Amino acid sequence: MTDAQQSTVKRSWLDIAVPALLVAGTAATRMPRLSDPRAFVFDEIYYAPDAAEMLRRGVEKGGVVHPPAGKWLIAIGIRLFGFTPFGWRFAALVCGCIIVLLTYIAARQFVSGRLVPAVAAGAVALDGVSFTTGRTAHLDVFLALFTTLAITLTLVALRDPTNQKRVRWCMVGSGVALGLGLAVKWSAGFLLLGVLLAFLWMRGREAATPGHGKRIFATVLTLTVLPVGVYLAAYTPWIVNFDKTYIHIVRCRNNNECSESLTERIRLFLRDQDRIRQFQQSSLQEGNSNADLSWKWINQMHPSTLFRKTCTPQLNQAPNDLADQSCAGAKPGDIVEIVTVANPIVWFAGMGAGLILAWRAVFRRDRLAFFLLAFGLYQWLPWAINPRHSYTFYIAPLIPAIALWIAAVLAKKPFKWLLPAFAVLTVVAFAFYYPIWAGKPMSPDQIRAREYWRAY
Amino acid sequence: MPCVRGQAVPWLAVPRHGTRRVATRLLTVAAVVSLAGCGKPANLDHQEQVAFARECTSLVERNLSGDTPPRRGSLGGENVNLDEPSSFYSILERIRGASTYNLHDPKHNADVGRQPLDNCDAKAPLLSSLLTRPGTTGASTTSTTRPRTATGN
Repeated sequence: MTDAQQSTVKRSWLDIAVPALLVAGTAATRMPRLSDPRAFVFDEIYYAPDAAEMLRRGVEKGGVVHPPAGKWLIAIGIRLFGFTPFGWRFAALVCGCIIVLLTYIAARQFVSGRLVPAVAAGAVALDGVSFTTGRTAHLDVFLALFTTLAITLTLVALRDPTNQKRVRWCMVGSGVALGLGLAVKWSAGFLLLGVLLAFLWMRGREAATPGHGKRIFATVLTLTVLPVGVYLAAYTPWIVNFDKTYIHIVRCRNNNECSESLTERIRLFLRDQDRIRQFQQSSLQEGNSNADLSWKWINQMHPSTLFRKTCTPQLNQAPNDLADQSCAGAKPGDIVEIVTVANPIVWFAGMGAGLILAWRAVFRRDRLAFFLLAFGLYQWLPWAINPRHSYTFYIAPLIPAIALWIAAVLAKKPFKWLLPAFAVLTVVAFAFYYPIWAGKPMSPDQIRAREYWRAY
Repeated sequence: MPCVRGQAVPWLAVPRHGTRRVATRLLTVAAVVSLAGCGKPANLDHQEQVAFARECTSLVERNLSGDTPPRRGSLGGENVNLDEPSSFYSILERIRGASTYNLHDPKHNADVGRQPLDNCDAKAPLLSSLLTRPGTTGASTTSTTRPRTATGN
């Protein structure tokens, strides 16, 4: 469709109503019990205090192993609502809702109508990994936000590769999004290559007119230099407030006159980046009962338990300033558990959709199938071949990609009739597994009935 | 890239007209969000102390509550018994209450952010805790992916 045609397209009220409903619905499912437990859930124990420290001093405390952007986002919530569970989880809630919206927009780029995109977005909203990461102050929801944004912009460009202006802006947007993703977690780099190849493919389709080589060069620059520039910009507060970093404090412990020049700060920054790299490479987490090899994500064999507590009557006597309230309303012997495990309907439908897309990509040379698969697999295979034991919440960026696989399959005739069944089963599964995603107390038998991975 | 049914999809993300208006709105939102990030809440320190106290209590409770009675442990050299809740919480309040967390001790400026909570492991090597509980994940739900000490250079 040309721009001239687009400008004549009449907008429907549904263009606003459907996305608004998706966002409101997502928020409505995630808001209840958002402040419970009133204790840190898993790695919130690092990120929330780090975010508070960034508000205080502009930098985190020591032992940092991830870039600062995600913690700055958590800090915004703390700035707005204080150092309360709601405050440190607020940014995750907002970003989780935006991910659902982006999934809808992404699916709209290759599926006509609103129903299938809405179901894909709903699948993200009602998935267990998206749900748990969208309610806790971990970094993965922010990583998922920026990778999903990059995928969405790439799909917008792919819809009409001949529209130079749109392709250029989408490329810049993807570069910025992936730069921000890198500034949350380095694993955003996995997708960077996939997005770069997609834009190079679009350039490759263009006729070899004068300046074609320059445009290819500009594409490579935009998707390499720009993300790195955004990444470095995220460290500006760190460089500026260097005298408050743990590196400075340790270096200058016995010397009050100690200070570092800009060059020295940059040198120490690079050295610290190398320290993070070494940590990420050497930290195999083999002894960690909550982590496992990433190829096991394929059937959710070993999900990560973020919080677990047995409720006893004695806990009700905790004074307000010590009570985490996780057992509020529980019966004696009930268990509170928060597990990052996928909604089995979404996950296994996604695996099936992936196989169908692989068949289409190979035997029908379906470009859409190829790119959608690539966007998912680029975020999975690097983990899967890694000997490092990983947590299941690392798949948070993969869920929107998998929802797009499902959308691409369910939009076509042989599988279209499955759409209502998929939608209903996803909702039913969400309702059933909600207690182990939201930390609602239940009896041990009820909890065990929901631990579907135990069947393997 | 063709649409699945070969139909065109109305352009959603960037309307051709009014691009500047959208950009201005986005910039305004970004500016508001950035400003919101400046400064710190007035009672940040107290809120963080309370959060640490609750977390510490929660860690001790999680350590002990799954055991069969007597649910006892040792914390900071003191014996704590969850089956006697009034004494349990009064000890916790005294040795791990909000006022016990000094967030501005210069000696700990280079510590990892969670370090104040390293002393919240109620070591309870009693007989009950040596037995594996059937049906549990056996998971340590206090993480972690990070080193416990800062490695300054």
